[in-house]
Amino acid sequence: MGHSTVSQKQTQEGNGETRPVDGSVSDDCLLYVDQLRVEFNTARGHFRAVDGVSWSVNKGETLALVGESGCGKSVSALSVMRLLPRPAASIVGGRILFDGCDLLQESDSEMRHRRGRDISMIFQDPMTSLNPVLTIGDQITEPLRNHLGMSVEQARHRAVELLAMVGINDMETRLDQYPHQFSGGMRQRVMIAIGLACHPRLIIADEPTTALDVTIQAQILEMMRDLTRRLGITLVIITHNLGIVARYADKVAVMYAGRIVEQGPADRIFKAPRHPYTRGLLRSVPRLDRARGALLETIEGYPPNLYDKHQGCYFAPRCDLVTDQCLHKAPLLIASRGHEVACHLSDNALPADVKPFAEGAERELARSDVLLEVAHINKYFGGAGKGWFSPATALHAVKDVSFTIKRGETLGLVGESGCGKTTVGRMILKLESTNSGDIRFDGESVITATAARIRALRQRIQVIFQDPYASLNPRMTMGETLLEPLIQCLALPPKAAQDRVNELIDQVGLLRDVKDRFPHQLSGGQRQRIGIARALAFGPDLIVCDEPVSALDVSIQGQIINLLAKIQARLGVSYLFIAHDLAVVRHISHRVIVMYRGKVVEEADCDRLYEDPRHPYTRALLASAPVPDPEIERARQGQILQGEVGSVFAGHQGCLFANRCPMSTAECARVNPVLEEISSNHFAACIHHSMAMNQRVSA
Amino acid sequence: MAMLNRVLKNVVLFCRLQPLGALGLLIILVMATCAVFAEQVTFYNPEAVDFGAMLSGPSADHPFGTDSFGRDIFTRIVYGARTALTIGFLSSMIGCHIGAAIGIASAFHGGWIDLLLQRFIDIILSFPIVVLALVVVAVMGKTLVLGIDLNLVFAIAIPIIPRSCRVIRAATLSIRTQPYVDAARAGGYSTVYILLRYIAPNVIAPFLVLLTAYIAQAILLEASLSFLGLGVSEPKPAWGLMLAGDSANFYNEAPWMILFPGLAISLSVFAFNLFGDSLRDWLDPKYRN
Repeated sequence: MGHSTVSQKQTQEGNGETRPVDGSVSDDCLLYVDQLRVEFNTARGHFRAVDGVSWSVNKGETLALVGESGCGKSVSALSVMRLLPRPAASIVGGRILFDGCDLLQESDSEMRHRRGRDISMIFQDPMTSLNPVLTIGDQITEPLRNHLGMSVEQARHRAVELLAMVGINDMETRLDQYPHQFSGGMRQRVMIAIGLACHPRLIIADEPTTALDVTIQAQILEMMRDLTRRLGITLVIITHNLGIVARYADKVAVMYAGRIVEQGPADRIFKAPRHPYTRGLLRSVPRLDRARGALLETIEGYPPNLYDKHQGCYFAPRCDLVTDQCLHKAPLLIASRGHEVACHLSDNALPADVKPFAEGAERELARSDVLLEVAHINKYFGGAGKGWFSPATALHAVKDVSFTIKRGETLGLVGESGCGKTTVGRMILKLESTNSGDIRFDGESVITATAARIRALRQRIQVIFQDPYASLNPRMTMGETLLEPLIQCLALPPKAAQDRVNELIDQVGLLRDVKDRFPHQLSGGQRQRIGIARALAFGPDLIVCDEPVSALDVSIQGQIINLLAKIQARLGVSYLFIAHDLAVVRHISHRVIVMYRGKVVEEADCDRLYEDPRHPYTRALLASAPVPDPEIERARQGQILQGEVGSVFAGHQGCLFANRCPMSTAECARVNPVLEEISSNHFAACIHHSMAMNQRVSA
Repeated sequence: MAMLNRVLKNVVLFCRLQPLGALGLLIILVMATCAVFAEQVTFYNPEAVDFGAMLSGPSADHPFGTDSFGRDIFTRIVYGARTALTIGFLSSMIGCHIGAAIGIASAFHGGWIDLLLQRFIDIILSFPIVVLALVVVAVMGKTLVLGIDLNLVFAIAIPIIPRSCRVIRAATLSIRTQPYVDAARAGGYSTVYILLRYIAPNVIAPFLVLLTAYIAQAILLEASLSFLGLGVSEPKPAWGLMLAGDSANFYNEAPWMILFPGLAISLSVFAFNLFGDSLRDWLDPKYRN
């Protein structure tokens, strides 16, 4: 019931791009998705989420489905599990052959038997995919008892094995704990253990590491790769991160607007991408392995609306190389030079090769007077030495942090989640109080300022948030959102304010008709542009950018980063750029600070920090960040950090990184390393910083 | 004129997009008109006793029949709409608004003010709703303004306050931490401005649901109080009173005595709920187009 399969004939009629499919599948092929079409029925009409998509994966192989949000990658994977939301979504055409059986023809109970036993799935958010009221043991043994009919003791025995397999120590005790007692990375390990429990033949991982920190991500990826290789499990991984693809995949399928635009062996796709979209994707991400350029090359525009039937190539409106043919005829997915591409352009019509990045035309600072001075600030959460709790329970979120930002400068603040980087930003904005230390903006203390002065200062220190949707009032139109600061704070007359709104909208590259729209009617990139325009409306000198691009799609990220750079060049504003993505920070920053557990561990000019990182944590971060190049990724030995970040409570002794540091000695546990200048303008807080350098030289 | 045009256009649009809500609104309007023009709608006196027509069933003379004193039930429902709508509407409005104001302030300010207010709310909540209203009525007595007992309105509004406060506080707590509120704080707007422009419009959805649900509750509460002899008293017509009075003694012989006042209460509750739900969707920009 529910899923009806339309005959093969109709499938091919419905979609112009038929490709030679003879129906026979080779023995090696484990999963074959054939001309799959999925529609969502919404109030606005039919949404063609997946429109004639075919991909296959051989036994033991790893396939990566790559694409931006809404391109249909998750929907096509959920279709394999037959877990699409009902009744909104329906599979209107195609076949899904798993080991020769068409999954779409199976009954619900047959399908239930397959899920978890033959095919299992790992979801993105480990925080919500575990049941909080059941122990980890219950949740791992559940599929074992259900599918394999194991007894309680057998299942528990197997669960211990599984936990050991995914690298969780102290298995017996851990089994009786609840999900909240595990960290994010640990929970994802548990999810993987559950996925592996019945020894499935296929695992579908939907953005398995997107919610995790870089160092944890590297651990999980490494582990998943080893396990699937060792156990011969076929893996389909869905991701937007090209670096992960390069590390993992044997085969890549790039999706755009519900269709596959390019697929083939990973090496070929990365070395010689054919489709303009793939080429654009690869070039629009800032990369650690390339010199940084002045601006990123971006794919302009936004993905198409999938409610309407479009003529021609879906990518045509955003494509630089568009021809007449592209606008009228949908390209077929045809084999070319070792992989399949859906593009009308012949090989020689493409620009010779991926252009190298424009060499770093270094942005000189026009003026160098100090705008913001942060001196020894501390922040505790919880009972800070008063009340009924002893001081030791206070969480020391920000620990003696100092830095300065000059006029027109971008300071990058990097660190993993929970390292206190966002708190620092909020303290500067005075959204969070400061327990000790001083923050001086343009010579004036933010900490001791009167309420009236604070109001004036707030116009000069603005903020851009991570989640562009949540940062806009859902009840206000964009016009109202932008008018508000002009009228409320700057007290402009209505006419002048309207003109200024138009100017702001132009400045962030939007069309003026957004003024009447509400946040939910815009795309993520457009919302973030409004967020930027709102910050600019105040005429600020400093903008605190709190992860401004991490919630955006790859091709949109580049646009926003470029926009921020252009605005800085024009208006001379300073940025405090808070992010976890090292490549993005490197691209945009003049100076970079690395934080770990509330402390600054290293500070240096951007290029120097990335070329010569001295703190072992910085080096581990750089080593963990995946780079979109399969050759580099495969050659990588991976000096990966073990363990996880813990919380820092007041009164901690010794180096905070000592428990994970590959170079730690007994001394590290005793001595509190101070931030010292190890060469001109390069600071690191490590007692072994010279060792770090020597090691590097010898390596 | 342009203003009137815009209002009219909005009303037409509301009717087109929210047909059920428009139906609810229509029922409310019909009831309100009946209440206001009661003298023109029916020519009986609601308090006139007619022993010749005791307990007579629905007929051309008495479309809804008569009660045990021979009073016309249709007339009494029409006049009763005055009491029901004013008391129901007023007390729910007062109760929900005060509750919402306390809830928003309490959640937004947080800290010890929140703690104190919430413990106070806990205390009020610990009294059963009828008992609390009883106490208020008993202590305050009667203050008649335009034929409406204001103290009865307060008596019904007071138990609504903590209930509305709880719901709105919870909604505010989740909105308070949204980045757009942080953005407003970073913009240097005053607290009052943020409360009015950022918090209040975003708690409107649960608020409207509460408001309409408590109009219904208030009508029923008024009925209970009248039954206990503390609300509206005989011979004044009130829906609750008509249900409560001795109609229970005659439900076998004269079921219309229960049926029609009951229907009137259900219909008004239904209408307010329909209208409230539609209004909530209408005010939410996400559902508008």
